[in-house]
Amino acid sequence: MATIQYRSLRKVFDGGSVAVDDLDLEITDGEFLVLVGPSGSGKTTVLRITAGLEEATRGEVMIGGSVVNGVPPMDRNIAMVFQNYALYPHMNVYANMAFGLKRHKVPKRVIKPRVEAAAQMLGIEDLLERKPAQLSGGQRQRVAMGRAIVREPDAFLMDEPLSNLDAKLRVEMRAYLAALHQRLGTTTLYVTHDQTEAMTMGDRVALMRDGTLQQIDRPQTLYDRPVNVFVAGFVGSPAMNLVRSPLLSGAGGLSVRLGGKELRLPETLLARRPGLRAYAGKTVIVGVRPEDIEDAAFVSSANGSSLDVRVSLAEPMGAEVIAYFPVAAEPVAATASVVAARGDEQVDTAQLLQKVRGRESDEVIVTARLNTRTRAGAGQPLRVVVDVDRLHFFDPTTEEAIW
Amino acid sequence: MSTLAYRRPRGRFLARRFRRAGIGTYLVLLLFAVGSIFPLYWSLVVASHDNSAVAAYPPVLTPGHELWHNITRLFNSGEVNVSFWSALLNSAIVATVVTAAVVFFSILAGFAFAKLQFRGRRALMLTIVATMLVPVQLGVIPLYIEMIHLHWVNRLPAVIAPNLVTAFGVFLMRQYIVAAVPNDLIDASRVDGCHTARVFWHVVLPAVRPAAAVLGLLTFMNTWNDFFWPLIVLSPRNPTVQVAVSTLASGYVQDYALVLTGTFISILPLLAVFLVLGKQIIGGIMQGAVKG
Repeated sequence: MATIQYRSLRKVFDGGSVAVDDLDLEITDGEFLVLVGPSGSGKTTVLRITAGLEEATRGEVMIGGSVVNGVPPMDRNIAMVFQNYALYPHMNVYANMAFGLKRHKVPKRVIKPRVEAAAQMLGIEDLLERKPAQLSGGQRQRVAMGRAIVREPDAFLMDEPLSNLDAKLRVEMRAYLAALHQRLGTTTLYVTHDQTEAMTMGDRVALMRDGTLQQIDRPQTLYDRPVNVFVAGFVGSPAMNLVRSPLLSGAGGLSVRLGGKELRLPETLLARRPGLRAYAGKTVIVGVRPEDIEDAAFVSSANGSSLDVRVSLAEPMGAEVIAYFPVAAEPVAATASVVAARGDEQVDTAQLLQKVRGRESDEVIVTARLNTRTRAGAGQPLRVVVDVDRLHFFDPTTEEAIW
Repeated sequence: MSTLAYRRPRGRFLARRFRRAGIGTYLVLLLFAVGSIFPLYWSLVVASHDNSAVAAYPPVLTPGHELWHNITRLFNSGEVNVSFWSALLNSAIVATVVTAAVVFFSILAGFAFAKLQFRGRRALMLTIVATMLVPVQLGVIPLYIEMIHLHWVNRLPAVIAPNLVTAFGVFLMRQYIVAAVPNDLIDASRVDGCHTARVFWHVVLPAVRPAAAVLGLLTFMNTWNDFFWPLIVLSPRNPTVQVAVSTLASGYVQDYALVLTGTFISILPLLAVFLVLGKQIIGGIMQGAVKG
C-alpha cells in the first residue's frame, strides 16, 4: 500500500489541448479517492499518467514516496481495472488472472493459491476454465477485479469500471467494491463521470473540470459546501436549482427575490456566511437544493418563506415525489452547461421542461423533492416552503461560493 | 393464450428466414460450381489420355488410363527437358519461406502502424500504401540489375528476397489490428508487465490468427502461382513449378498431355494448403461471430 501524490501535474496533448492543468493532490495510504468530472475533464488522463500509460508534460507523480515519472507501468506495482475489462480473449479466466503474476516472475506455487483465493473472494471459482467470451458482463467485471487483486499492488487504479454494467448490476457492484476496499484496504484511485458513484463510494471525492481540480473533500462536504456553481450543479441528484437574484437590503435585514416574493435570510445563515453582507444591493446566484423545498402541508412553520406555484410535472418515486414548477426568477446561464456536464444518463427533467415551455427569460423551472404523501399533481396549484437557512450563494462573476 | 399469440409470428418469422433455397438458387449455384471446377477436371481428363485427346472432336470428357504413365514421364528427366521434382521442391521452399516472412513481417509492421506512436507514422503508412499503386513490371529491370550485383540470378534468393514483405500484407494487418486489438488490452498487458515485444507476442499474435491465416493463404497462392519474375530471374535448369510447366509447353512439338499433367500436379499442393488454412480461417470467422 502506498500514498499517491501529484505535484504541479500538467498534461498537454500533441494537438495543444490541456488535459490536466497544475494538479496538486495527495491520496493517502489506504484511501478510496474518487476522481469525478464530465468527459474531457482530464480525470482519465490523471489515471493513465499514474499508471504510466501517458507521460506527464510537467510535474511529478509519486507513488509510495518515490517519483515514478519515466518508470514503466510494469515497475510501478499498480493494478488497473479498465472500463471494458480488457480481458485477454484467448486466455481462460485463470490464465487472465495469473498473467500479471507470471510476467512479474512470481513462482507457480504462489500464483495458484493466490488466484484461487481471489476467485473465491469474488465468487468466480467455478469460472476459472472459461474464456471471457463465455462470461456475462458482471462476471467479466469480477475477473477484471480478480486480475487486479491477485497482484497485491500498492494501489488500484479503476477507470469507470462499472459504466458498462446495467443499472441493477452497477448498484450491486458499487456496494461490492466498497466492501472489497474495506477488506483489502488498498489505496484506490477510482475514475467516474457518475456523481452518484462518486458520492456513494469515495472516502473523498475530487471533482475536476477542464483539467483543473475544482474541489476535493468528503462527499458530504462537497454536497453541503460546494466551492462554486459548477460543483453545486454537478453534485446531488436531482441537481441544485440555480437562479439569479438581487440581494435586497431592507429594515428586516437581507432578503432574496424568488417567485415574486422576498424571502428574508435568517441571522443564522448570515452568521455562517458573513461575506454575504458585502453583496447587499448586488445580484447574486442563489442555489436551492430540491430537498430544501417542501410541500407547505408538511412544514410546521413557514417563516414567511412560502411560495404559491403551479406544478408542471410530478413524478412519484415511492419514497418521495419529484415535482417541477415554474417560478418567476432570472435563470443562470451556467446551469445548462453544468447539467450537460453531469453525463448523458442524467438528463435533467427541469431543463427539458424549460425547453418545452419555450424561452421565457423571467421564469425558471424549479425542482423539488416533496414528501411522498403530497397532493401535488400536474397542473395543480401548490404551496411550497423554501428552507431559506440552507440556501447557497455564489458570486455571479466568479461563480465562487460566498462565505 | 398471450404466449401463444406472441410465439406464432416469431415462428413464422424464423421459418421465413431459414427457408430452404428454391430450385432456381440451386441451379445457379450448380452452374457456377461446374464452371469453376471444369478447367481443373479437364486438365485431369487430358492428363489421363495421350496427346491426341486435346484435339479430339467431339472432345473427350471422361478420364482415361494414361495418368500414371504421364506422371512417370513428367518426373523422368530423360524424357522431359526440366526436372519437375526440383521445380516442385523449389516452389515449396520459395512459397513457404515467403509466406512465413510476409505473415510475420506484416503482423509486426501492422502492429507498429496500428498501435505504436512514433514520428512519421502516418506519412510512412501512406508511402507503403502508395507503393501498391506502382505496377510490379516497372520495378523489374532495376530489380534484375540488383540481383546481378548480388549474384543471385538463377538462385532461389532472387525470388524469395523481393517478396519477403508486401505493402498489401502490412495494410491488411494494420487494418485488422486496429479493429481487433483494443487499446485497453495493450494497456492492460503493459500494466501486467509486458514490454512492447511481449505485448506483440502475448496479445497481438493470438488476436490476429484469423487474418494471418487469410494473408498466409493468399500469399502462398500468389507465390506458388507467380510466373513472371521467376521466369526472368531463374533458368529452366533451376525453375519453380510454374516456370517448369511453361518449359514443358515450349519447344517445337507440344505434348499437351504432359503439360496438363504438370499443371494438375502443380495445383495439388495449393489444394492441400487451402484445406489446412481454410479450416483456420473458418474457425476464426466463427470465433469472431460467437463473441458477444
